[in-house]
Amino acid sequence: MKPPDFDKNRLRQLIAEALDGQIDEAGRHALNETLTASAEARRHYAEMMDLHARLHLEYNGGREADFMPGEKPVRSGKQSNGWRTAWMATAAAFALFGAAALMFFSGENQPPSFATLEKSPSARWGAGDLPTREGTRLGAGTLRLEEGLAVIRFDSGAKVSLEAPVEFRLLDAMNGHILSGTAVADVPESAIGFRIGTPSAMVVDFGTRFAISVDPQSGGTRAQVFEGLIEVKNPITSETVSLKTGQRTSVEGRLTGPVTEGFEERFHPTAVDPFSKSPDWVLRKATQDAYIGHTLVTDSTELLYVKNGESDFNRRAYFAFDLSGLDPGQIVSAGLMLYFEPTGLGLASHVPDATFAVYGLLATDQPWDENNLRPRNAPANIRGTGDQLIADEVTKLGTFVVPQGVQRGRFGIENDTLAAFLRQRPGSTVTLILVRETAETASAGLIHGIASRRHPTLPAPTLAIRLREE
Amino acid sequence: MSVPDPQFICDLTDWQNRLFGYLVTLLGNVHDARDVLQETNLVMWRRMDTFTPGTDFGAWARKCAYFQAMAFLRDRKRGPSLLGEELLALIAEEQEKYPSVDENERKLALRDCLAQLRDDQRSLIKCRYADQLPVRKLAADLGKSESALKMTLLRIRELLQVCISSKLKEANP
Repeated sequence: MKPPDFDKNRLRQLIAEALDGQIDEAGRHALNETLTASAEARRHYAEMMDLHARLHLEYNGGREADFMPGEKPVRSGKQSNGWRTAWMATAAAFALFGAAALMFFSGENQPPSFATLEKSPSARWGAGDLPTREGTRLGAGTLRLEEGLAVIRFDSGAKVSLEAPVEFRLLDAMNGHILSGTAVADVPESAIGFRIGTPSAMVVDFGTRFAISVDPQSGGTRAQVFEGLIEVKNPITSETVSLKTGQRTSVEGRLTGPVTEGFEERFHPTAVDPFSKSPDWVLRKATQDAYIGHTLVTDSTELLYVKNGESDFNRRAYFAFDLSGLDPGQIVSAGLMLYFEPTGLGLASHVPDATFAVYGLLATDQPWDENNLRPRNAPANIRGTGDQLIADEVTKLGTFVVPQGVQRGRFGIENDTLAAFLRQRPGSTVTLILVRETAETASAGLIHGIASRRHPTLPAPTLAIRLREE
Repeated sequence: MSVPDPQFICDLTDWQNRLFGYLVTLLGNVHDARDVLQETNLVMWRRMDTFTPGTDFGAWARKCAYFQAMAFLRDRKRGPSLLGEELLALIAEEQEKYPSVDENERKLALRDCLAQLRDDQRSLIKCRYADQLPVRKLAADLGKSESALKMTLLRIRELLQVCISSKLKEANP
């Protein structure tokens, strides 16, 4: 065996640095020089790098990457998402092949069903040509959801959550079409290759969770990926862009927008219906109200936004009520009434049944200005948290739950704790704080909206107080 | 979208590990290799029709991976790549000449050889790869210097490599 034509020890050190350390500029230079000069050095380098890769596979992702046709993939608990996504394009091949086989065997005699309406909490349906009972089987046809949320499970494994108002057409187990509105798709490996068309784009999924929103007027499409990889095609220009985790784009007419990073809250806003109801008690409207956590693009003066999600977008609402002229001894019962209205921001699919908590600010001498309420000066606020308040400055007065997908209606609390809180603060102005205890389960979750005292049609946040009868 | 040839699917599956190794060799780290493999899979899937059934799938797949790696290196904005472009072209060319080893044999050889390591060697490899502990942390835990630990890890890998080579030679004389 002839001696190596390079400094073997030096090469070993360089490889060790490359594999386990931080190889510096000088090291990189030396490595390039050694490898360029010697074929044997290159071979040694390649063997070590390949082994490094194999060891990674052996301990991390190898099991799934070993998956052969006819074998059941064994999932490793430690598997990283990176491996999953790296695998997806391959799995796409199986999925499409499987779908083709399915079409071949299913025959053509009767319109087959290929999906199930899995759940539809608080859904209100418009005129479509498909049944809308929960658990019913669905074939090709159109669903129109006017309010609430509905989840369709395709036999391919793809899950599509429709967020009202939306018009969605089912084509087959691997294809759907959004005519207008928003849907969130969750596509497991079994359904890779699942496609959602819109009036302006075609989206092919490579195993992801993503949202698509179609503007009812323009037919323009927005797509954003929460996890995985999708391909968005502009059928007019044939331009295709790939979106990875955390990216979004838009397609409208000939124009395919840039691929941008980060999640977007603004989906196409929903129509607003006036809603009004009031109880038979003494009512005090809020004298001030505001929310903290504004962002420039999604600000509202009419609605108070409440959200618990990523720290940059957390929002909570503050209300002030003037108790002057009320005899505290006469207060027997009290409630807080809030009127919810859709903000058109965020995805209901990402927020489960949401628990809201109402807190009372213990101090009555801590004035705040609704025109200048900010995270840094809001009473009892702990910045950067979704629902935390400074514990010894507040008292929890009660909670209420807004079911998933519900964005409209009157909610609030009514209890003795609130009545007692008011009785103890006669003649003063009290501050109540509303937080959402339920955090979103994925980015870009729904922002709940509550009519403020500036809302043109809905009642302001209102304290309802029942006084002892004389 | 046309229905893929089942053989294409098998080949694509079969080549995942080898392509990953190939990309780690070109890019110098598993993180980038993983990203580029994902892109490569997508490209192979899209350009399925440019592959002629019956020809060398591995050569075609490596070519796809090579172009994706080059595109990745040109697009990247973080520091310089481990290896220069000309050297990468040379390494890629040489990879074509290496005899192709059966994937299952390759994997079984690795497992056999891991089993032959001393317990302390195997547990060190496990800490590094399964638990993905950074060398600094691992060195601190073991009370060793980082540079000593790097060389220890390298020696274990070299032992494995020698063992794997001889096993593969036995199987394919």
